[in-house]
Amino acid sequence: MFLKEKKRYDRQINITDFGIEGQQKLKQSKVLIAGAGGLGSPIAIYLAVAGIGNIRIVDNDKVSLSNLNRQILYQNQDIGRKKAEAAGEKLNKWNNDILVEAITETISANNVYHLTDECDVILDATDNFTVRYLLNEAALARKIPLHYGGIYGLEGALTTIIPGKTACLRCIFPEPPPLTISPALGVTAGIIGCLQAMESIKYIVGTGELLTNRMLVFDGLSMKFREVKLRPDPRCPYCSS
Amino acid sequence: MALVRFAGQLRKLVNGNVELNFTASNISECIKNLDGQFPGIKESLCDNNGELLESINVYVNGDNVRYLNGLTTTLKEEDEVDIMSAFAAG
Repeated sequence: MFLKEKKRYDRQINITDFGIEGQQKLKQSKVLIAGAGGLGSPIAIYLAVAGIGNIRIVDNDKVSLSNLNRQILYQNQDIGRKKAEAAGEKLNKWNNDILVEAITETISANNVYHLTDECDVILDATDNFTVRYLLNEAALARKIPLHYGGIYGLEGALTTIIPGKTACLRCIFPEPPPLTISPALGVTAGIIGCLQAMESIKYIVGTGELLTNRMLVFDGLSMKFREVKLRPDPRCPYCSS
Repeated sequence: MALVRFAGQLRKLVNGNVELNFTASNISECIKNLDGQFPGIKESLCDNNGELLESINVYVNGDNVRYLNGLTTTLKEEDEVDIMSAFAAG
C-alpha cells in the first residue's frame, strides 16, 4: 500500500479489525451498485471514499429535476446527463485512486449475469421488484452476497442475503408489493443507503455481525429502528436445494 | 391490547397512523377488527380465500406468522404486530 493511501485511509485503518489488511481487502474488491439513484448515491459515495478498488455502477436513466431532492450524486448542472456517466465522474473526484465502471444500461435478464461478473457483492439500489428479483437470482447463481435496501417516504428497510446461508429475497418477499409511485425523502435514502454500504464494507473486511436472517426496519416518523426475523423458506423455488 | 404497526405503503390503509392498539385473540381477528375500523383493509391483506397475500408479511414480536400458525397465530396483550409489504423504492 502506498504512503498516500495509508494517509488517506488512516482513520479507518485504525478501526479494530480493519488495519492495513482490511484496507487491502477493500482495495482488491469489486462491487456492483445496481441503480444510481436515491440509495445508489450514498452507497457509491461511501464505498468510493472507503477505498473499494473497483465500483461498477449501472443505471439507464438521465438526471431530472425531480431526482435532486435525494440523489446526492447530482447537481443542477447534471440535469439531462446520463446518471451512470455523471456518477462515475463524481466518484472519481471523491477518490481518483479507484476504478469506476459507469454503465448506462437497463438491468434485464439478458445482461444481469454479465453485469455481476467478477463482483464480490451486489448492492441493490434499484426502484422496482422486477430488477430486484433478477439481482437475487444472479446473487444466488454466483453465490455472492446481495445487500437489499428499500425506502418509502420516511421509512426504509434493509437486509443482507448470503446465498446458501440466509433467506433469499424471494423467501422474504415471495411477491412484489403493489406498483405505486413511492414518496421519498432524501434523508431516508441516505440512512438506508449508508447502512447498505456499511454492511458491504463489513462483509469485505470480514468484521462485525452482518444483518443476516433479519431485516432492519427504520421509521423516521417515530425515529425507531426495529428488527424482524427472516428464515430461508424450504419451499422457495429459487434458493432451496 | 396488542400493538399493531403498518409499514410503508400499507400505512395509508390506517390513515397514516404509526401505531394502533387492538384487542384480538389471533391475527385473523385482529385483521377483522382492523377492517371494522378501516374498511377495506382485509381485502388489501388477504385473498378471496381469506389467506394472507404473498406480498404481505405479518410479524408477531418479530416472527413471521407464516412460520408460526398463520392467521390463527394467537395474540397476547403485550404482543407487537408488524404488517408490511416490501419497500420497493430506491
